[in-house]
Amino acid sequence: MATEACLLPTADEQHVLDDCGPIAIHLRSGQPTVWNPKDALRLREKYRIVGVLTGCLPRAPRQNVHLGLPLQLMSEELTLLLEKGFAELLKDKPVSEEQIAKRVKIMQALKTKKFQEQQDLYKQERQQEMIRQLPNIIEGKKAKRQHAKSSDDQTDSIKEELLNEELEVKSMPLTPTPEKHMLVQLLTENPWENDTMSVEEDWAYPTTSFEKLRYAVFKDLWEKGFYLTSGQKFGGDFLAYPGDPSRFHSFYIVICVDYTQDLYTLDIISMGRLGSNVRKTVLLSSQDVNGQVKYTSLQWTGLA
Amino acid sequence: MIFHVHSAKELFRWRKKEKGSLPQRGGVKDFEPDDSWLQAKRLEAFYEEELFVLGEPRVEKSGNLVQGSWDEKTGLVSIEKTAKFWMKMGFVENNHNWLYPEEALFLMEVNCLEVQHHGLSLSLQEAYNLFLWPNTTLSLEEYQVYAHLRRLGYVVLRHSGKLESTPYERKIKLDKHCAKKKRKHDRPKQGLGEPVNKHTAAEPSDAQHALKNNASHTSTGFSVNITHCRQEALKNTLQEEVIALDHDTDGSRNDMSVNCVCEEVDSSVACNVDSTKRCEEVNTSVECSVDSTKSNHWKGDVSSCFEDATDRVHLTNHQGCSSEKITGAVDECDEPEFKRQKLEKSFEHDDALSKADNAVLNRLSIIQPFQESFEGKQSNPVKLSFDVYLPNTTFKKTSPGLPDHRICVSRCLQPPDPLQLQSAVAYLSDNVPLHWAVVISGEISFFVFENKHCQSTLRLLVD
Repeated sequence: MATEACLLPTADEQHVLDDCGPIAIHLRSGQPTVWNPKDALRLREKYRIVGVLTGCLPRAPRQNVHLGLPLQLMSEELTLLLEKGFAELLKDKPVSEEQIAKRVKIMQALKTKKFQEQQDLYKQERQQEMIRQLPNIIEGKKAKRQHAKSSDDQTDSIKEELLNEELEVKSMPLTPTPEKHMLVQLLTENPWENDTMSVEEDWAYPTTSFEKLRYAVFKDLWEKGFYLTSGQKFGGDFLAYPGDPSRFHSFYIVICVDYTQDLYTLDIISMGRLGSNVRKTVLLSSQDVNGQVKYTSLQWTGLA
Repeated sequence: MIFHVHSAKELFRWRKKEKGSLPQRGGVKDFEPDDSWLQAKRLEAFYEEELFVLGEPRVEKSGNLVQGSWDEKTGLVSIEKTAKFWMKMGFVENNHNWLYPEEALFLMEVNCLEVQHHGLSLSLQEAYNLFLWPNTTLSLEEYQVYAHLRRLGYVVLRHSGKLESTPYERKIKLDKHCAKKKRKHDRPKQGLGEPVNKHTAAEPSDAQHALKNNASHTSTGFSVNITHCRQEALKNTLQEEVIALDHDTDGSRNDMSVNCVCEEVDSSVACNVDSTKRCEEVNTSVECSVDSTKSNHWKGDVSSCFEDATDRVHLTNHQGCSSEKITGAVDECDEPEFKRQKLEKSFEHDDALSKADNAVLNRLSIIQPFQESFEGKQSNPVKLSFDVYLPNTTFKKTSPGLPDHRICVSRCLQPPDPLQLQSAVAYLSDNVPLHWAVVISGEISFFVFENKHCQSTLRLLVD
């Protein structure tokens, strides 16, 4: 069993662990997700991969305006990250019973240790509060005693007693804080190391010809320096942003079409109309016979 | 060594976090990056705040947490004690309180529940792995839709199939009465995990399969109960016939034109319910037409019944729009064959049949193929995942009544067959909007299919 000293990593260890190495991506129900906050931000800052936050935000869990971890990635984003070697796809390993028993022990030790520490912290807090409230306490006690002993003449001794009490705040007996007030952390990330193994070979995207086209377009635009998100909001395949989507509006609505596909004129009109209405350019993207990605932008123009 | 676990001091610091305050979104967006110091600074501030907010731990007093444990066999979470959330989630079975995986996951995300597995409390990351497909029948997309709606404040239950009660029974609150009886009576026999999940389309495990059988027993008992109550309540000479009819037509009822029919029925038959009314009315009106030889008759009596039929005729004139065709087709679900035959019969005896009326008949036979495609589809062809209720103080999870919305979750860009969706609506026949939730890599959009009737055309034909 681990000693208490090595139960928690030091700040440095945690820092090193978080800031280097490939980004850990886990498959959940077949979808790529990121669980570490630093990884999620690194993806965005360093690799221009945005993803979508899908969980509840810890500080305000019951709203849909700002969501929290896990960060879910598009299939194209994961394929690109794996191809460039920026990330690794991980799967939870089955855990042996021995390991479980060991972990239960560690957790229990940690829990009791934390509860003891919290007892001290609660005690400190209460003492500080008492010192802060001392004038009020004295006032209260004075009033109480004067009321009770109005017939007796012991006013002199009262002052002395009160003085003594003032000194005794630190050594006053405090009932221990009940366990229901103990703070518990509900973990978001899996805390156990060596719990995962790489399963990159499990990831097969793109497979169909349309998926291949989507990926080729995604990769090409990403390599040109754009930030790309899902284009679902505007009926396209992707939205292309010139900078971080939090600070800039998107330039393009990217729609993937087959190079030789006939387009219905009314569809082109609706695409052009949409683009002009939301102040974006519709980008029809396809791959030519050589695999080169070709773009056609639509501009809505009227003759007055 | 374990990671991401905070020390007692840190926990204490997080105890007084600013609950509820959301980070600012950073104001108006710029057009494009210009490498300016200001833009860089703003972006940096955004990243910093985002990292801080996402990295906040979930800290809660242990007294406020409900303890649960994951049951691998059933794919459910059993909890020791209940809390406020019990009003809207969970169910009791075999003297245990159970939560569905989506309910447990959501409660974990909102700091209400701690789930133990093999004596270790689960992190959210592990729970996402354990509670979702392929370990259970719940997909990530379904959970995301569930959580989205719960965060908005809706009460979300698993889809419970078609309601056994009729609109009239619901109106006089007879259904609540029956449901109460059912709960008391059937509780020991009820299957695990099935009180609100009778018609789930998920692949059943062995245990769940057995449960379903149980549940179907329950439903039989229920309908018998209803019949009994109705007999007491109605005291109508026609009651037996009504009940028989009701049972026969149960699967193919369609509420889309029920309202207008209801209004026209006089008080003596007001107790008869739903499609039964229409059957009867068709019968009477047809008799009238046969007796007389004036074409005017059908206008007065049968008009309400044929409202949708005439609509259909109109719609088939505009075949360019596919959705309109669907509308026409769905109306067919409701005993169309029966109506059409009667209609033709009434016209056979009619000398003054105009050309327009002939056209009506022709059109009616034109759309016959649609009719065929719906025949035999008694059950629900698409998987409906959730029933959604508006939160109110009188809500009871054991007899939730008619949902305000129904949700069908779709993972990819491929839409569910609109015809199937419509036939599902027709099968459920209670005017509850069916939403199609499309989840593409974590982003959710909702769509709803609605029938629109063109009343103006009806008037033209009648005049």
